[in-house]
Amino acid sequence: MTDEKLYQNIIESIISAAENVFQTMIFMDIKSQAPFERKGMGSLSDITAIISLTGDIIGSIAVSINTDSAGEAISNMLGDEITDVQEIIDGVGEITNLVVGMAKTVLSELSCQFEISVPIVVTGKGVNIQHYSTQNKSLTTIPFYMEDKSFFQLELYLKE
Amino acid sequence: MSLKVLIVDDSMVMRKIVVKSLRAAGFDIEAIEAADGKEALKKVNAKVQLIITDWNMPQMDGLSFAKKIKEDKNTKHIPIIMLTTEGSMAKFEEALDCGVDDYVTKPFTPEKLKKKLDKFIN
Ligand SMILES: [Mg+2]
Repeated sequence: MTDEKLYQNIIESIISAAENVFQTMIFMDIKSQAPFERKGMGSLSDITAIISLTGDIIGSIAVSINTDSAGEAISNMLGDEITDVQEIIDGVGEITNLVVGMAKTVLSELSCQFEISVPIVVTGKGVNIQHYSTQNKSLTTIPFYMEDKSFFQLELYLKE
Repeated sequence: MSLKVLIVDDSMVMRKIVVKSLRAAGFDIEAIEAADGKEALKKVNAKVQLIITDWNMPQMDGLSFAKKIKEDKNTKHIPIIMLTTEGSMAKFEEALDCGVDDYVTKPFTPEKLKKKLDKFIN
């Protein structure tokens, strides 16, 4: 598999995993927008969960979401109004775990094997997120929307 | 009498979803919760009738936990269902080799969980 092809497969499996997780467990229809590259590691939203990947690919995947959107998603997931911040933070970690885990399974069928860490959740906007490498690298950002509202950003860093 | 179920997952939101899904599926359960294998080993006893465990957890993962349960004569009779994002055939087989009785992949619906559970509960 060429690097370009592999990269395309990774992006596609992450997008379909996110859509699937939101549909089956959160009961929300989300849509991705065109991925873009950005420099810098500051978190884009209030709560960011990051999972590292090690194996055939090395890197990390982060989900960054604002507190309101996260509260909405987790309330939907539990079928209960959730306002407890600890619970919202925990939920963002688990949603990220579900998305990355599902993408991992799809990719393993395409002969791309790797292990994933448990999620680490960081709060605050503009906070430095510890993606695998530390220097001025570029991240791929995939924005996700619910109807016409920006809902969360998923970011991928892959070591060359 | 209610069914004593030990639910092991590092996410408290996921533990709540599992409890809700079981109740929604019509099971009358008494839930015991633990955040990882280590905590679960402290909470398990011979009266537990079913274990539902995650795989990837800090401290002790679901695989090592399942091995310990199946090595102990007091607990080895308890059916273990692995509820995990790990969905590949290789992982499934690895889990069965460690004594896991059945396997449900996340994301899941209450119906999917119920179907698996029906096999172990009469
Ligand atoms: Mg977990």
